[in-house]
Amino acid sequence: MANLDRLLQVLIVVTVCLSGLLLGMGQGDFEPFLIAIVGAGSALLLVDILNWFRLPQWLANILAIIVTLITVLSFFFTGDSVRQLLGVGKLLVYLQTILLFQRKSARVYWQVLVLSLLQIVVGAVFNLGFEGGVLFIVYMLVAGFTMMLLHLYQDRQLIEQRNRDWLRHAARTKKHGSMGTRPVALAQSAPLRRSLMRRMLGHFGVMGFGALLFAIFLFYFLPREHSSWSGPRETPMKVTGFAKKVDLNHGSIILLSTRLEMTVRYINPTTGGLHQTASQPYLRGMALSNLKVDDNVTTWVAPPYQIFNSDFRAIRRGNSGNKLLQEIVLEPTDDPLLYTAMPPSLPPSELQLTQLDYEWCWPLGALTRQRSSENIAVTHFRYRLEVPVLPNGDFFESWPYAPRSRAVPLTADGDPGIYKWLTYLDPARYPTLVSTSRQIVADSGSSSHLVQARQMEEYLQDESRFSYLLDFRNVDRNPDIDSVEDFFANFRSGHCEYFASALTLMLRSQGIPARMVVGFRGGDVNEFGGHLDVEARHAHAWVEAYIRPQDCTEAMRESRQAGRLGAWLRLDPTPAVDLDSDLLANADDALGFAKSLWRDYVLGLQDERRGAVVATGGFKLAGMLRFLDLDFWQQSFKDFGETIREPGGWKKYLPVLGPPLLVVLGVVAWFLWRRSRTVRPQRKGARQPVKAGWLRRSLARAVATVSPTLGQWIAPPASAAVEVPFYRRLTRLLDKAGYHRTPSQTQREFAAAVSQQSDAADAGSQIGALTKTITDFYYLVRFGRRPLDEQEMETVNSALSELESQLATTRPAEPA
Amino acid sequence: MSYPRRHTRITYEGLSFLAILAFIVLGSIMRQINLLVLLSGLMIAPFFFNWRISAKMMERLRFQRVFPDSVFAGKPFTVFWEVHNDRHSMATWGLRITDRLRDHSNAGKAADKVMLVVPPVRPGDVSQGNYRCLLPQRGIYQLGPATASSAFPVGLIRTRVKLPEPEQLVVAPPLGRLTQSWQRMTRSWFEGEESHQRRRGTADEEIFAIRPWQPGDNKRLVHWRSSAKRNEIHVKQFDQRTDRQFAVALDLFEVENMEELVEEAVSMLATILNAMPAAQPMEAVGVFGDEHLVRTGRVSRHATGEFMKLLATIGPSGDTGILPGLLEMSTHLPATTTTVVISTRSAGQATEEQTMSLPARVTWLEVGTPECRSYFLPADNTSSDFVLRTLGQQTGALANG
Repeated sequence: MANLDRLLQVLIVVTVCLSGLLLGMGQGDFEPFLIAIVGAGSALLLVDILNWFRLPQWLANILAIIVTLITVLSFFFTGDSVRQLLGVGKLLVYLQTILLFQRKSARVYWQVLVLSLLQIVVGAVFNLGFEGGVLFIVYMLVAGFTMMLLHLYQDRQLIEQRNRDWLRHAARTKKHGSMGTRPVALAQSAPLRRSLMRRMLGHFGVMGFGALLFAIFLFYFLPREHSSWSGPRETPMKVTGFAKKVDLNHGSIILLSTRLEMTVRYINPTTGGLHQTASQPYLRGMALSNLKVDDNVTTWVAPPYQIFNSDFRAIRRGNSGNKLLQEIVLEPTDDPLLYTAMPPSLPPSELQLTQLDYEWCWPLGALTRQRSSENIAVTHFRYRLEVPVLPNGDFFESWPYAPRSRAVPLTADGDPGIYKWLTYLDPARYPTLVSTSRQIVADSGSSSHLVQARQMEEYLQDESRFSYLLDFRNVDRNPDIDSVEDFFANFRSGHCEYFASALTLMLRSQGIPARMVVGFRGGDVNEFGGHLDVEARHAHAWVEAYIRPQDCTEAMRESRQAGRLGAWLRLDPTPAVDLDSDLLANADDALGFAKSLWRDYVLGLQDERRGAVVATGGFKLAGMLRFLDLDFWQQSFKDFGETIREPGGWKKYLPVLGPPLLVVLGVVAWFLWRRSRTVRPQRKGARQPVKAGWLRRSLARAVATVSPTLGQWIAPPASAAVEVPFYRRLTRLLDKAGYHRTPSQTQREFAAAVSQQSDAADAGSQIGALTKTITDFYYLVRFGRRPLDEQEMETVNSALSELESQLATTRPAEPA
Repeated sequence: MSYPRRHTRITYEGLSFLAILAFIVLGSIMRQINLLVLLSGLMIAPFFFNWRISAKMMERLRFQRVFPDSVFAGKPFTVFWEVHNDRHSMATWGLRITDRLRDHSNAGKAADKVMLVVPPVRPGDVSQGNYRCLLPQRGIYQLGPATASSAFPVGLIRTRVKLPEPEQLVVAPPLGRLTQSWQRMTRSWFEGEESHQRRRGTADEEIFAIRPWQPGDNKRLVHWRSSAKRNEIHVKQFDQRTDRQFAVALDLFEVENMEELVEEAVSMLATILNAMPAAQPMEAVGVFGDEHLVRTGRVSRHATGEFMKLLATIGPSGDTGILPGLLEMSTHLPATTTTVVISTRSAGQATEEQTMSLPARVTWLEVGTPECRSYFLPADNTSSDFVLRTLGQQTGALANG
């Protein structure tokens, strides 16, 4: 026992230290770890090895109460959830340390393990890094093996406890000069041999491997409804992908999704062969022209309420010149939006297409396949468009401006409404950005919007000033100013949405109409298929600025990149980043690679990352899991409260809440009915019991651990659930006469005891025989499960009457 | 072959584990905390494995309780549990057997439980666990019903089986010690008959039985092989005829508040029965208490066993009629037979109440008197303390506090 005891003590200390370390790593505060390691180490030395000191249980309980009170008062009334979580973590460590200083028993060890497990939970809520993940696995292995040993230890401790109880009881009943009356039965616990330990380790290895496989399976196949948790200190993680709204909130981590969005091929229309593009194509999705500012967060959205039927225009047939045939296959989606390099035109080969098949929506600045998504089949969608290229094979950087209605340039004089819309901003929100833009314009020494726009683009692209960043967890934000102003003036690191926002605002601040554009840039070259695989991680945001006719260069006009009403110029202020290299930015060594895997595929795993098959398989389940979402319920309760306060508002919820309410009432009624049946009287013989079902018995067992009485009420034990009226009468009669049945006595044992006692009192007494007869009938009813017939009932009744009269005249002998 | 039905239930640890697991699963799904999803998986798996492994481990196991046919109160004995694993694969680990021990005559008393752990039982193999017992009071005890269970490997779910019907254990009265005076007295009855006695205990005689060693036994009679096997000293017994004639009668007359006298009388007869046959077999034995039993003629081993069983449960009686029984017994005995009456009352009291005189050649021993004590010393407290201590140390119960 001693070797098992010591091994367990050491393993418990290791477990406690690991959980403390994990908690510290999660919380970013290593005080819990220090307390855990010092507490566990000193407890091992002082309490377990040297046996110098031990907290009595009453003192430990008082200490635990005091520590709990102090922690609750210090942390739980702050209203800050992070501080509350920190408090929970510390409280767990304090309680664990107090436990460690007590006399060790299986129960104490188990409580220590439970507290350490809860520390892991708190640590996990704070999201552990890769190192934490490794420790997490180590912890699970150590804790699992400790549980195995604890189970052995518990058995042995039970035997020892039982042995001590036997000896104690024997000593209590020992009389002077005699041995006492209590029997003694002592079992011997076998020593824990090394060979046994080795075999146990083998078992544990197999079980641990199985558990790991199961956990991985569950982890990757559990459907996810919303974004993964990124810790209480951070905003939720985001995953790259096309979005029709750009929301520059304060802080998040952007994960690179590898979900395939489309494949793109460029074909030389003359030769029919595949064309390798010289530059990465910008596959334009739509323009986000509306600027909204809410709670210091700059948001770009499309203006759907400004769209009229007249805003949809057919795509023209292509002209002569250098062109490429662009063939795009979209992954299944119900979104009518189409992506294309600019400017697109219908190829001559697509003669069967009508003008309404592809339309250009002017306010959205987007190409759509149909106006109604209801008519779109969610399958792969293939379309072909022609796009012009420069003689060197590059895509156009600008294209002629097409006005909305009148053929006027987009200037304050020509089209004031559109001009005001596309130059809208509140300069007071962006003081640094506006002043810097003004300075750039002044420094350019040119009145050309083209020159000024290029200068501003270069300013942002300068890597000495700005850097590209996807992980904002370590960025200090200033929530009191606008997020773009904060980016531009302070932290100067961000992703494409920040750069595009800043440039759009800079251009607008100088009177240059500009809009943010979202789509995809480039893709992975698929050498085998000769096409580009465009994934969600290639989603990108850039800017389109309007260049007045007088600012367009001759070269632009000649190459048809500008028209007589000016041109849209594509500007990409984001510093050049190789997404592939960014994906593995930290993967310069194996550790870095593992870290990136941990971040992307464990902490940040979402449906998109699990692959289409898994995501589709869990789609429906994910929909159901929405009901487990706290936000869903918060919003629902909020709506419910608002509606119910309206006059007659409750009527709206009647059809929704009525049926579930009826179901609940039905279940309660069924439960009460089932319970009433356990004491339902029958005409003759027994009240037949209704055996509690598995669910009810399990519930009763669970409740009984807290309150045995309540547990018995939910599902009375089998013996108590049966009442046979005539036997009850028998026991009452005997009880009155001084024959008491003890709880551990069976009915037959009781009858034998009554017979023995009554015979001792009066040899001619019939009490014993009558009792035995009635008891036999009781067994027939209780265990034979059949009611008595008329004759049998008569026999029982006459036996009871006879017994009553006999008991009235005879007194029982004293119990043996 | 049928095997006991298995029942599975969640342990206390399992319930608390399940509660934490439910909390973690809910938290992980509601907030989509991926680490908690992973933790849930790592926690669900041991729970599931514990259920399946423990259920499998309790499959196709046979159990057998092995204990001595007869035991004496105050003398420790061992109860063995043999477990046969009839499976072709998978050993059974962490097998815990909970046996019950109850004084059958005292039906109102709750059964005491004893717990033992059986070492791992390999497939197709047998393993054995045991516990040591000391029953201070004579009587008929009930062993069982027992349960066997395993919660291997992590103790969250326990699968148990109920083991066969309870068994009866007859516990004979405690053995005291017959003194030298007793030896001298019995020898004196047979003076002149020594020549008829055959030598006993020689190698060419058949061993009738092996019994535990008792104070006064010749060391040469120790049966070493059995002693080594049973971890207790045993001696050989020979059912040997002699020509000597000797009878014993027990008179358990009810004496108020003198239960100890009854116990001493019963113990004395049990000691004589246990010790005598090897040296001085009896011609007749009679027991007169709340039950009567008389056996005349040479008292065989079988009859001794019958008497031991009776002595285990016999109680005193207010019936004063021992003398008629004694007289009737004497009619079956040769005139030279000496009858020793062990009684809880004096000879005078017995004859007074019966208005009869004692038959010839009767030695009346009233228990509790100095005369009786000069022949027989009952089991004393000192030796029982020693036995308890030894038992505690053997099982480690005392060594560990």
